[in-house]
Amino acid sequence: MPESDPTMPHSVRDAKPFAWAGLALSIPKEWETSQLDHGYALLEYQYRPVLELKTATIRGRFAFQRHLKQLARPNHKRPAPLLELTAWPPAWPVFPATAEVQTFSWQGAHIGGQGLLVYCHHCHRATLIQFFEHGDGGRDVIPRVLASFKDHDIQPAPTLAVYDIQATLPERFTLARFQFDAGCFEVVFGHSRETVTLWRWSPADVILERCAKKLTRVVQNNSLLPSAVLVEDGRPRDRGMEWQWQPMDYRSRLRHFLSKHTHPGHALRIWHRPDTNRILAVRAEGIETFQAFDRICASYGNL
Amino acid sequence: MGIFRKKTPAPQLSREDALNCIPVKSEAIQASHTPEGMVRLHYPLVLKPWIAELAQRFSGAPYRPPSRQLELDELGSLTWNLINGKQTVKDIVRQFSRQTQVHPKEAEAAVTRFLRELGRRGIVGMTPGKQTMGDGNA
Repeated sequence: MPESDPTMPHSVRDAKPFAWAGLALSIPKEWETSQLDHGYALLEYQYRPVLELKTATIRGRFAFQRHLKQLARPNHKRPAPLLELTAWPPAWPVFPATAEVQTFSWQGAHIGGQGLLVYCHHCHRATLIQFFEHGDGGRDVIPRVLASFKDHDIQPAPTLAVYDIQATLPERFTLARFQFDAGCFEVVFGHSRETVTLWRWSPADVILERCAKKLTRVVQNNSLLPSAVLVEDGRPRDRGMEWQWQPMDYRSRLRHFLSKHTHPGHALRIWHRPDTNRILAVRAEGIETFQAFDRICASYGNL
Repeated sequence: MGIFRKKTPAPQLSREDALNCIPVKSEAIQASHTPEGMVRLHYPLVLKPWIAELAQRFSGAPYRPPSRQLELDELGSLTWNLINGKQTVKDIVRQFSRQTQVHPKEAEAAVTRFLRELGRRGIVGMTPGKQTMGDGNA
């Protein structure tokens, strides 16, 4: 038996969180993020797809067949496999009564799959979860992964856990945009006038070497701060630096003048994690309190 | 009419097969080291055969392709040193990921992009490794 066979039921110790697009799961440690998009995630093991997630908020009435057909449509131009609706596998966990579920399976030339469509009446979200089968087993892990599935009330677990980063943001924040390039990740969340941006750079030793071992240079090179703020030295934080500033533009000043609320602030924190050879940064704009910013920074780290 | 004949598309490799390929350095490459320890490559510019033929006819002398120089950064130098004609792309990705502590997916993207760029310049070629069944994609 291989040392870390993902087909074996995994315990909490050899599982890791996966959270994206408002969904959260506990997956085997060997599974890796392969592709991400808005409402979409593909996980792989040893360069083969193992799990696909598609999710969408349903406006109006939910029609099972119609939404199953829509969500099961592949992203590429190949014809969709013929889905066969199946009976609920006895080993799979029972979903709460607020969820409407239907299982299905399909078979292609070299690959097959089984999964389910979940519609939650609480959050009005339909999610397609499908596990790929390459003819080498791997069904044993499905019940455990499904048992950990959440499409709302994810906290206190991370609300973002992809690749090697994780963070917990207040649930009001939704994903605005993201970019995962080799060496640099950027994920932006927004809510009303608040924006939170997470960055991760790696390998930190190479990046710091190019920046004269100064985090300020990383901030400068990536234009993380307005130049008027960068002239001041940041406050030293644990293995990093932090800047806090007030918005300077006339709209913010006018909003502040007209409003009785406290002035929303902007903040940036950047720090170095030598243990994982990463540089992490969080920027919050228009954040209500700096305590909220502190909590986000504290939750942000490596998987 | 050969000109208008529809070209047969080259068979597409699956991702797994591409990762099982073995990168091989071109024999025409001369590698040296910079004082900072980075790898510097001297390679002949790859021209289309008809351009080379034309150049030879006009110059009258045997054609010698112009040479170019490419200086690799830390990560490029590391990857270059991992190419030994025996290791597959997958092996190189694994070693790169381990040595630089980057995420395996990032290592795969960085190494494959680097090899593709070297291949475009004719610095490395690929020999097929172990082939797999299936396309590896849903």
